[in-house]
Formats: sequence, C-alpha cells, structure tokens
Amino acid sequence: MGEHEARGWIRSDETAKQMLSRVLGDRAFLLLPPLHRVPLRAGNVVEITGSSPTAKTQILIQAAITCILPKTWNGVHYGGLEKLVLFLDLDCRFDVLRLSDMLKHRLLEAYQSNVKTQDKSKIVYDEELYVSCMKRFLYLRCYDSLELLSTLKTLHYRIRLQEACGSQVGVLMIDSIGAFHWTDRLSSSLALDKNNRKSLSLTNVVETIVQEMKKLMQVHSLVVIATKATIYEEKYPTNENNRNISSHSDLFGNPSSKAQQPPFREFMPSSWQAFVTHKIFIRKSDDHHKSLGQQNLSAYLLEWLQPQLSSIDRFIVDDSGIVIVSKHTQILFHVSSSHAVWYCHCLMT
Amino acid sequence: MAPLKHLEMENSIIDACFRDFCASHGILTVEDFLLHDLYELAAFAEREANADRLKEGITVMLSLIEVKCRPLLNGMELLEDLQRNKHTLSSGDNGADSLLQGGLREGQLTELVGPSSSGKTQFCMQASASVAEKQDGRVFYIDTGNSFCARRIAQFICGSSDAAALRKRVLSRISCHTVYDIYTMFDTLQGLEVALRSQVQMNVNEYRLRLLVVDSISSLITPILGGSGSQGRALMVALGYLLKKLAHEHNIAVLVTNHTVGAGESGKTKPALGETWKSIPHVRLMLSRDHRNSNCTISILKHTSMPSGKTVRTITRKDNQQCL
Amino acid sequence: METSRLPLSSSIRGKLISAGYTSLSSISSVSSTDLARDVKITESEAFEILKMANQISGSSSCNGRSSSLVNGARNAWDMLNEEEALPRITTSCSDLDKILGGGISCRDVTEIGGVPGIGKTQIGIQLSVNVQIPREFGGLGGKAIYIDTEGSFMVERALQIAQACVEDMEEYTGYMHKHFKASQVQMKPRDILENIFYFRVCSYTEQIALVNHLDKFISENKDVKVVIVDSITFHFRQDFDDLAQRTRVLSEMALKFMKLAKKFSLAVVLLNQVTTKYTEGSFQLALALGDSWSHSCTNRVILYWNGDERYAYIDKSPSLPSASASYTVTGRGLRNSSSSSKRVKMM
Repeated sequence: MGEHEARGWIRSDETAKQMLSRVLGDRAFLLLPPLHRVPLRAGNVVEITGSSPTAKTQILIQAAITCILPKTWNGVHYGGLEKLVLFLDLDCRFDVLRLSDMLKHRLLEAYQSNVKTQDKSKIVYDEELYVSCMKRFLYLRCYDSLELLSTLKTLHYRIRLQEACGSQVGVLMIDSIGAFHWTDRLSSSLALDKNNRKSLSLTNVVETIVQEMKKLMQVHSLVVIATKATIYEEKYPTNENNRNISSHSDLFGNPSSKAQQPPFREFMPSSWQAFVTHKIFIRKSDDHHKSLGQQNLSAYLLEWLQPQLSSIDRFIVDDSGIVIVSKHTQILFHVSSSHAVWYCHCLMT
Repeated sequence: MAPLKHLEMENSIIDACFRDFCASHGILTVEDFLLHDLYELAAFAEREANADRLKEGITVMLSLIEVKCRPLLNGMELLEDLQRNKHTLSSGDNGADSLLQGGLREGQLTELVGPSSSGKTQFCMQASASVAEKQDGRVFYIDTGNSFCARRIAQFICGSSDAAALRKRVLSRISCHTVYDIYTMFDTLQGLEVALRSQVQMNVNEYRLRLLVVDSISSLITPILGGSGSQGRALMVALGYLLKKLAHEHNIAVLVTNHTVGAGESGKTKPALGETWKSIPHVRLMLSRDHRNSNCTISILKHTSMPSGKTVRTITRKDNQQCL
Repeated sequence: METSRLPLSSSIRGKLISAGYTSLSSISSVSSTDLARDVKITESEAFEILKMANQISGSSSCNGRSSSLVNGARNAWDMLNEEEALPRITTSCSDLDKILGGGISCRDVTEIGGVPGIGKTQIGIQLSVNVQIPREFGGLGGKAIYIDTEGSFMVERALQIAQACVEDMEEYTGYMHKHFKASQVQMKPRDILENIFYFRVCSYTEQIALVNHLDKFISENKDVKVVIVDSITFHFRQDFDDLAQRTRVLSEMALKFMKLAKKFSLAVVLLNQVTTKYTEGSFQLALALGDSWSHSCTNRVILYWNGDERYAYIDKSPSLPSASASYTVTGRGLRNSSSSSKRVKMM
C-alpha cells in the first residue's frame, strides 16, 4: 500500500519538484518505504537506530537502489535518482549478492508495471542498465576508526575521480556508525605525555569524523544515511502496548508531552548527535507476521523520532525486500499539519 | 603507522623541519595527523617562512595516507570478486546446506548458537571433514574445550573407495590448535595472517586454507567480558574484526560457536556475548536438539541475504552410533 | 589497533600508542634502544615488547611447506594416531566404562553431576584409586589430585576401595598365573593412599588460587593423571551475589582446567550438584552453575535414580554417542549393577 502511495505522490508532485529544483538547485527527494514519510534533501543526516537484526542494512540497500536507478530508461519509468551511492561499510558484512538480487527484482518490477506484455517469459531485466546501476554503487570497508579517518580525509579526491565519469554522489551511507565504539573507548583511557596533543579518545575521533563529513558535504551535495546498532541491552519495557498507548495519546494530545528520552540508550558523543538531523528508531515487533504458505517472518516497527511523527510503520522483510504490512492494524485518520496526507496508524492487537 | 620520523627514510620531505612544525601543533604521529583539520594546518603553514615546503609535506602525508586506504570498489567489481573468489562450501549436512542455499560462504563469518550438547561441535567437525574431503581445502580448527576429536572427524568422511588413504589425505589437511585465552588467540590469528600472506606471495594455491573454525569463541570471551572497563568488549570487537578481515582478504569461511545464556525469569535462552557481538557475524544460526529423538533444528537468526527467522528446518544429524 | 591486543599493562600500551607504535610492524622495525627512548620505558620492557611483536610476526611457519600453518598446530592425522593411544581411567564398572568409551578420557574435562547421595564422591574416590593401577594391569600407574571443597572425602572409604582394588588385582594375578607368567602385585593399599594428593579448600578464593597453582604442582609431581574437584560448585553457589562475575570467574577456571588437561595429558573430573531449573512451564532438575557453565566441559555425565537403580547418562560429548548405563555403589567401590553376573574388567 505504502509503495503505491509514495509512487503516486512522486508523480503528482513532479511539476512542483521541477520548479523547486530550478529554484533551489538541489531538490528534496523521497525514498521508498519505510523512509517515505519525510522528504530528504542534501545536507540531511539520517540516523537509523535499532538492535541487530532489525533490517537496518536492508533499508540502506533499498535506499541505495532508488538512488542508483535512473529515472527512466528506454521508455520505462524506474523512478530513481541516477546518482552515485557511497557505502562505507564499518560492520564489514555487506553482501553484494543481496544488492544485486534486489536490484534485479526492482528492474523486473518496474518493467512489468510499465510494459504490459502478456508473455511472461519475455520479461527480462536489461543487462546494460543493471551493469550501469551496479557501477553507480561505490563501496569501501574500514576495519577501525583510523582507517575510517584516513578514508574520509582522502574521500573528496576519490569522489571527484568517480564523478568525472558522469553522475554525482547523492547519498553517503555508513553501516554502522557505532561499530568502533568499544575500541575507541579503550584508547580514550590512554595517557598522553603532552598537553597540546589531541588524544585518540572516542570524543576526539567522532568529532573529527563529523568534521570531515561536514567538509565533504560542503563540496558535494550529499544526504548521509547512517545506521546505528544499539550496543546496550534494551532496558525499557518491550511491551508494545505501552508504547503504543503513549504514542496514541500523542495523536490527540500535545505532541511535545512525549518524553524526549529516546527509546534506547544513546552512546554516541554529542558532536555526532548534533550532526544528525533525522532520527529513526526500529524495533522488533513481538508478534510475527503470518502469511499463507510462508513461514513466520519477523515484523519490525519503525518510528520517526526526529521529526517526531505519530505514525508507526510496521514492516516485514521478504525476498523482494521491505514490505509494509497493515495486518492487525486499525486505521486511524489523522491530518498532520506538515503533510496533508492520510496517515495510517498501526495499532497492535 | 608509526612516529613521523620513521617516514623520513622514504620521503625526504618529512624532514626535521617539517616534523618540528607538526610537533608545534601537537602532531607527533600519523594518528595525530589524522585527527587534525588539514585545512587549518595548511593555513598555519602559510604563515611560516618555508610555507611551500611545509604544504608539500602535508600533501605528501595525505598521499601516504591515501596509499594505505582500501580501493573504492563499485558494485560490479564487488560482484566479480564474489563470483571469482568467494565460493560456498558444503557443510556436509544437507539440511544446513539447503537452508543456507549452498552452505558456508567464503569471506563470511558464520556463528552457531545453541545450548550445551545441541550439536555445535558436531557441526564444526562435520563441516571440517566435508571441506577437507570435497573441496580439497585446508581447515584450521581452533579448539578451546578439548573437544576436537580426530576419530569423530574420520567418521564424517563419506568416500568409500580406498578408505585408509582417503582418511589420511583428508585428516592431514585439517590442523588443530588449542587456545585457552584471548591473547593467545590473537597471537595465533596474527601468525595465521602472516602465514597466509606469505603463501599468497609464494603462490601456494593447492590446498589453500578455506575454513577456519573457532570452537568455542564464547569461552574465550566470557572471562574478559563485563566489569567496569571497556577492555573486554574492545578485545571482543577487535577479535571479530580480525576474523572478518581474515575471512574477506584470504577468502576463508569462518565458523565460530557461541553458547546460550538464560534470559530473565521466563526460562528462555538467548545467545551469549550480548548486544555488541550481535553486529559481528554475517550469519547467525541457532541450533537446538530434541533429546527424545535426537533431531536437530537449525534456524536462521540473522543472514545478510535472507530474511531472518524465515526458514526453520529439521534435520537428523548423522548418528554417531558407530563411534565405539 | 594491533598494539591494543598485546597482553601489556594499560600504561605501557598507552605510551606505545601515543608514541605512534600502533601496529606490530612498526614495533618490530625498530631496535629496543630506540623503542625505549621513543616510548619512555626501560630497555628491558622494550626488549620484552619487541620479543612479543617478533614472536607473533614470526610464529608462522617460515619453512614454507610445513604441514601446519602456525606453530603449535597439529594435523588431525597425527592426532588420530595419538588419540588411539590415549589411556583411559576405568571406573571399575564395566557398563559405565563401555558408554564412556573405555573409561574417563585423559586430556578431557569431564563433568559428573547428580543429586546428593547418588555416588558422586564415590566415583571421585574410585577414580583417584583406579588411576594408580599399574601399567602391567592395564592401568595408568599415575597419581591423583583430590580437591575437596565440601569436606566429603573420607579416608576410611578410600582405604576400603584401595583394598578392594588391590584384592582384585591379586585375584587377577592368581588367575593369570595359572595360564601365563605375570608379575606379582607389589602395591599395598597404603601406597595407594600416599599417591592421592588431597587439598581441602574452604572458600572460592582458595579454590581459584589452587587452580592457578596446579600447573606448577603438577610439573613437580609428573605422574598426576587425574584431578578431581569435589565439588566445583560448592563455594560458588554460596558466596556469590554477582552472577555475572561468577560466570566470568568460572569460565576462566574452566579454561585453566582445559589447559591443564591438554598440557599434562591428564583427566580432569569435576563433580557438580544439581539445581532446579524452570523451563517450558515446569521445574526440572539440571546441573548447577547455569547455562554458561554447561559449555565449559568436554564431556558431561549425569547421574540419576531410575527406581532403585543408579544410572549414568552421557549428556554431552564430542566423540561419544549419548547412552546410559546402570551402576551400583558397593562396599568395594563402584561395580556393575548386576554385580553377580560379571566380574570387574581391568584390561
């Protein structure tokens, strides 16, 4: 449901967007669900928090595909941005096979919905398009913070080399930003002999990372999407009903009454927290999504913490990617002041 | 990386004069250099008498850093590396292989989680036998619980023709190393890394190392975990990254085992090692065994290319009746 | 950073890293004098660090085509031949020996647990006697260490079992004399008692200290072939409030036992108590010390009552199939439950 809604939205907004892009130079864009609630523009830094596994990397891959796909190709509408994606893999477990499979899936899907062929066997994805998309996906892995720092220091030159081939870098992805937290914390405790030296402490390292990224964003128009795995055990009540009741009351009451406390234990230094402009929190739903002929799939709940939205999306991950589900939900109609759209609010049974 | 003066030998520009300038800004090592805003540093250099030389030094430093960086790969290059170098290895167990769409993937870290006597060690030994027999690969088995049993591995060898010779051939491809603390573990892995690197230089391609087993990783980490300091967790993370690096750069499938601990009052169990460890392995498999009929169940807790919790399959482990 | 993985004190590690020595290669490329000057440590400390760094970079096989990749690694083929020759300690109960693959295996850590009165201590005493059966009688001719945490070791009982053991050997010799030539039993029950090293520990700190000391003790008393801890649990069930710390301490102790077992090729037998555990809506008996501990042993044997008979069940073993066997505790020690039908095998 969500996907079609978003698609429709993109199409009908087309002229307004074109105007905006003329005026502003860079336009805001919408990604596919579950990142469809808020339009993003260059300079935004999105942080996706959740324990492992909550499909965070999956969301990144899905967003990356939207970015690397062209808008149209040979008369078929793909609705992409045709930009480069830079994926910084700090967890070192990115699986390119998943990217490739999902890209193929998207290509086929777009082809099917645009070209009405009766003959199913004729539906194949365009190899040339596939290769050009894959080439727009750029990947780097780092095994510690020092590697990340050296990468960021030299990234500008390398991006320029890549951009010489045509497309601009649209999104910088980091998976995941807290990966080196413990090793950096250890070096925080090191004694230094001189006072004017910057120590290799967690705060200094993260501060420099943020600084380098800001510099990068000055010269390239980038959206940064970073995942963050929670590294502490969840101490908050996992009972979903509690949380839903609280967000439910927000719908009709005062939105700011909701405690500003994030639903997880924040561990990133303040320099990073100040850098982030959009915050998303994902947690595992207690009940599984059951569908006919399939085994139980874990369901996840996604919540926007900044900007604070009252809607909670419930989604599952299957072979085709992320699917928003509205099973077991009760639709509440609610007009948001910022987006005049019908929101569906999911209530767990 | 090292103190700046070590760089002078190869780069004459990083001379005493440049180092003095750096030291006056608190830069003594390459790491310090990384932590500094280079634009700011260049601006400072501008004010000095020998500005050009200093700026050249900064550029040289930057290029030295760039050389150390990993290359930027695009999707097609990644895919090519995957198809050429990273194969899937049969675990010797049909159920697990079909669950994992072929078996253990080279370049990935696979974790087996399960309660005591759920068949983790059996899985490891079976996979070792399978890789050594069918893929002609070498296996490096790190044992922390004296549970490596060559006799048991010999039973997993399937081939029937010329049993004794095959047995000897397969078993001599599996090496076992006992490790009882985390520091020895690091020593062993670093030694392995050096050995593998020298093998690459010597082009030793026959019988390359394809599987690294650590049974169990949790018994090494549990004694250092917890407490107030971050040392334990830092070592755990460092160990995880070292394993992943080995796996990726030398195209090895890494298989580690982890135990379960009770979670709260409900009597449920969860994998040990906590929240931080969760983001280390590529694939997490949960093993459980029904003691009434010795059926093993393997389920996916996490997988990089498959939805978690998706497939649960029951398999019967090749019974070890013939052991005696 | 590679330096942070070295077993160094945090102050020296800090000095090394802040001086820029973050990788092993950067350390091994300098002389100890330079290192000491740069890092501001003593020359001997620098020498130690260099030794460590060089050892790691050089620990791989430099001779190229050696069969193992890393020094100290053994290949499974050699180990197979070694395993076949590995001695086992009989329990004096042939049914039990059978499911154990011939007895308690040396080089393994075996945990034996059960309810009070099932005969854990009896097994412990029996093993500390049986380990001394001379080689010509198919035994190990070793010595035993008995670590008593509960105060349940009874020397009179040990003497009884030792006497029975000597009598059995004499009877066996008599039988053999009729047919072949065989040596005379020279062992006296009192000699047997002399070769059991008994340690009484009264707190968990003593227990930890003793386990740390065992390595030295066994190097001095080479023939120790079995270490029995009766019970591993006692002090840890009483004095610990911080369960996380208990897990850490216990898992470290388990690794030390593993190391001992491997290094001296001896059997470690840990006796454990039972506790109730809440699983799937009901309370069940399980061995004490929790889930983490259950992974700490190579083999796990659970003793239980089945009607009036005592049974042993192999709950966990990397090399043995799970099976159960009955046994009895007689005045002469552990025996088969149908004691009249079979004689104790010692071969």
